[in-house]
Amino acid sequence: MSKGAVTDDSSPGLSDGDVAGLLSEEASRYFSAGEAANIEKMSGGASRETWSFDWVGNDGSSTGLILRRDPGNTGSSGEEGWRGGKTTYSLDRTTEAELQRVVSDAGGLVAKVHFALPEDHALGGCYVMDRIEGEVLAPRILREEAYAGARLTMARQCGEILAGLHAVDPATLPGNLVQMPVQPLIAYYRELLDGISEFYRDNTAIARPEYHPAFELTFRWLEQNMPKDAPSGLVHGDFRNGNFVVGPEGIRAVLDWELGHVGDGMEDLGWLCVRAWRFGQHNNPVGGFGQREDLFAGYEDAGGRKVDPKVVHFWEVLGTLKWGIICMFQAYKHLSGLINSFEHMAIGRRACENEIDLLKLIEEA
Amino acid sequence: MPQDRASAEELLGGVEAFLRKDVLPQLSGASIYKCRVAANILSIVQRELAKGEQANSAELEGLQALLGRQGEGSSEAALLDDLNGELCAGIRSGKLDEQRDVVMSHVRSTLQDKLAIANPKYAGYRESLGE
Repeated sequence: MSKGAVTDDSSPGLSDGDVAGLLSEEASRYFSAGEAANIEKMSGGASRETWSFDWVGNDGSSTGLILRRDPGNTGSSGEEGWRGGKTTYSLDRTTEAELQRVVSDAGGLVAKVHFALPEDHALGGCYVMDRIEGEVLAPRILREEAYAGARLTMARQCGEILAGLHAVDPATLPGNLVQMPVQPLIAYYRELLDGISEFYRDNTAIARPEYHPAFELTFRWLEQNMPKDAPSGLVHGDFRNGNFVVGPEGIRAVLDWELGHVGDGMEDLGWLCVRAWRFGQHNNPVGGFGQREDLFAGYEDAGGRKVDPKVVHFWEVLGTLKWGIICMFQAYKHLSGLINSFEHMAIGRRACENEIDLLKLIEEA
Repeated sequence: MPQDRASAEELLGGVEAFLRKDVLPQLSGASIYKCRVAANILSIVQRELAKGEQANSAELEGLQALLGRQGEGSSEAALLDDLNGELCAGIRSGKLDEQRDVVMSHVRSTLQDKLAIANPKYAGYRESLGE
């Protein structure tokens, strides 16, 4: 297994001042006469940064904008996989921007993309889109009074949004979108689990493999309960509370398209029901805000195919397994030297939360 | 010869209280989250010191009963690895399909012991205990 350089939370390469300067320059090429103002880094990590700024035109107009960029040029089209320090295939910024454009053209709830820059640009792979005002933090959306009305409609609305998304004409999708039907997806997580265990056995002072019988039982169950003849189309890949911009009336936009791929749309419905996204609101299996019946009805009423709850359950099981293995992977990233973060190390101890949930999920079915 | 007091658990408890009561209120921004995680880590380790040994023996007994052999190795860790390796391979190959119920029950009880250390407040853990 290859090891990447040790990174921490600071971004390599450009300083914040450099980014702001280059961003102003690029924005002025694209927008009509005016200037970039209020440039501010909202969140940053080793692999992704989000910046907020306004374009103030000489005519007095002002447009709220977001820059999404890869500070270390770490985007890939999926080949590097987890060995490069990522949990799964993920799109480069250019493809993500293109996908957002396609969804937007098809009438999807997504921020309009203004321009994208390739990976070899001084700013790194990045794009600029409209800033949609609203709340993104899931715990606030689930608890604050201001979103009480939104919570009542969101499960149904999620169904409607997903029906539209899954109906996007495959011929219009970016050509390099990863094909990820169920079997390769399962194989991917199988390899991740085995690879981490082997690494612990062969490359750490505690030279022991790590065994997860509950994950094994789940892999076995998945093999035996595989949905048949799943249609293939666009899948968002990370459709959940936390990736929604929400106002008091409901969802305004869907964010974070980097895990977009071609596969079975039921994956999105199942992922949305995974316990981790309920943030303690256990009576609301859909994202902590709603009921499965409303999600399914919204999906079908908006033209989606008839929902088989068993297939959604299958994807909820697979989603919970994915999340559990991602917990292991977070610890692995520190223990293998890819990053230096004791918080990530501690997440390894949360894999068993998913395991106990999986036992219940595969027993119920 | 045992170490002098304070014990490992007592030492960790003292540092945890310091982090929660003295350090945390003085922090701001991302450090608040990191300090909470640090204190939580210390409480995991305290629970592991208190319950880890018993959890390991219970797991070993469960595996031996399930697989019908003692396991090979000169330490408890080696025995656990040997038997867990057989359990996982057996589930994976389908060899243990017929015994799914007893396998599930062993795995559940092992996971409950693990969660009693890692995160006893976890809702899925409380539910599995029938609470």
